[in-house]
Amino acid sequence: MREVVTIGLRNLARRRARTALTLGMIFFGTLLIVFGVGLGEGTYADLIELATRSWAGHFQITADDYQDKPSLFTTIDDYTPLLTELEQNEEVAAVAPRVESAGLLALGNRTTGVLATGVDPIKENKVTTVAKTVREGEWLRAGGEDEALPIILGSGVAKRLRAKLGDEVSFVGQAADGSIAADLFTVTGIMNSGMLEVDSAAVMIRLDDAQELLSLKGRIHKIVGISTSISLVDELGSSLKLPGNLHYRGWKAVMPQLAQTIKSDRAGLWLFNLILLAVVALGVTNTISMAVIERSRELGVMSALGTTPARLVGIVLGEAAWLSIIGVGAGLAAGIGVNLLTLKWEIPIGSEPISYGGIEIASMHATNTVEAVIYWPAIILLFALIAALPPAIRTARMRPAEAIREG
Amino acid sequence: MTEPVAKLIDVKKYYKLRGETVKALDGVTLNIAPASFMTVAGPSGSGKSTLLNLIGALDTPTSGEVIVNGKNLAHLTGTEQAMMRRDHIGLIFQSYNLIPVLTALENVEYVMLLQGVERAERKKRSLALINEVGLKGMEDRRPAELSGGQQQRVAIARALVSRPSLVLADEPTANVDSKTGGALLDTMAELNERHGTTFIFSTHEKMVMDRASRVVRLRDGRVESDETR
Repeated sequence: MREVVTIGLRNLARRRARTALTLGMIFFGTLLIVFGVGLGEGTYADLIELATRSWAGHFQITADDYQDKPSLFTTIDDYTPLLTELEQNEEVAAVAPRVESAGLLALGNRTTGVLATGVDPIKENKVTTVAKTVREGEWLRAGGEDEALPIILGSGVAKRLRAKLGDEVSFVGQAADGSIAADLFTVTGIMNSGMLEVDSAAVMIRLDDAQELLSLKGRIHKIVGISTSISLVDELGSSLKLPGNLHYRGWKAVMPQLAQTIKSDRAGLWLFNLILLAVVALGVTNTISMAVIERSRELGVMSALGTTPARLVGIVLGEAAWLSIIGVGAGLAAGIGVNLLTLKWEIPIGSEPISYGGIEIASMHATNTVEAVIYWPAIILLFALIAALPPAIRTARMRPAEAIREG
Repeated sequence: MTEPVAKLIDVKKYYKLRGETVKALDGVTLNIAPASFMTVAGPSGSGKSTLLNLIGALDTPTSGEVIVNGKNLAHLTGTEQAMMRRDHIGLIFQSYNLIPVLTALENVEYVMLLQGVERAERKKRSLALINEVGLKGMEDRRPAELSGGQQQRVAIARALVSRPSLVLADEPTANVDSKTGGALLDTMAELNERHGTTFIFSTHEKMVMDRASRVVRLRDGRVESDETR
């Protein structure tokens, strides 16, 4: 083993220019992959966090087939113990209950269809950033029974109704007991989330008011939650023991389009990385092949002295291993450094921010994920060694006299 | 009768060179007894080096059998042949063939390293032989820092240090002065006498042939004469 290490390292010093070129190729290949994967993963993490925190949450719990066929009557009954249990779960950061109902909202002689969501003003504020989208007025406040019932309108709804703060609007819908759900609300806020589907139809009222209005006392339609880490979402889903009629869905199931977008983008990144890997592998193959051809006589002599074919392969691979370890090591260190720098100095995207569902990211940063700093560098190392195998095996198969003659 | 250390039975080795068939060896049969100190002589192209290559399992014959230490080389795998060379055969090449990235000491130690000899023992035996071939103080030099004669002495030390039972030496004194050549031959003759090491030299040189107990002359790949003294 000693001679494998010694000979491999000393041989690299024999052709310094070629070694430097190959090392440069491996170095930049690794750096690009570590940075590219880190940037991709960092951007995906930002997108997921923004998308989930804006409205959908990391996970949602609903009853029966509510997710596919939302119905006023498909509710989570007696939800308080479940909510408490979730709040006590170490992997859950926050949860918020919601009630949802479609209805008509009228102001004067103008009427528009809306999706009213009843939210707990305090809990919702811990789970999502919807409160921050209120551009006029203020977010819902828990208040006394004698107060006017507050309502926040999506900017599109407000525009259609020509509503402004302080206007009284009437909501008409169906209640769960079969009666007509109707009440008057005072506009206390107008929100503009940037998400068309929200702003054009959504209105927010307090959970208690919604339950009263819709005859859903003690019942909700949905629990929206945030886990302590996005990576725990699937694990949390498996560990929760929910009643049979309740279903847990992580963000990928709640927002399949976002999950698909990220999946497709990752596939593109893979392809790019594979091209880089091919370049690195070709560089290593070329260097090792040239070295083997140049040193055919020397390798033949080693064989003549009694070096077994397997050991000869080891000696040639030893050289490739040194090249790869030094190149990948340096590229990895530089890649990690660059990724850390982007955390401090984010990369501006320019005039066209990345946009998903009304959420915009104006700058990007790279993160040192396991994929970026362990998996991919390990794959590069493996590729480089595999690339050196053909010349190494070719050497081992040569007759010593033939190798010495050709050298 | 003592088992020959090497035995060749109707060995032929043909090469293709620019479409022409070259008969490097053409039906050679030889028995080489243990503790021989023999030379294979003949003009360039007579097949001397090819003969040594075949005995050393560095090449394979076109036909015929080569048996070394009782083993038919055709029946051994590449690994088994390498291990036979490592443990039983010392090789001295005309053009030294030292490993350029290793020092003189490391070159001499190389075969023992392959054999798994302890580091201290390797160093002790290598330094002793380096001293014996007159290279004391040069053990840390790389081949490029040594003259041709010095390199050949390192190559000889490398071939002898692992105490093989058979040493194949291709023109071992061709690149050293006569005084050094004589001293090296003395060393080899002493090993031959003391340990019964078999030496087979290929040579043009009278000095080597004069010291040999057997001289086999080749011409055009055939044994022209076989003289035992």
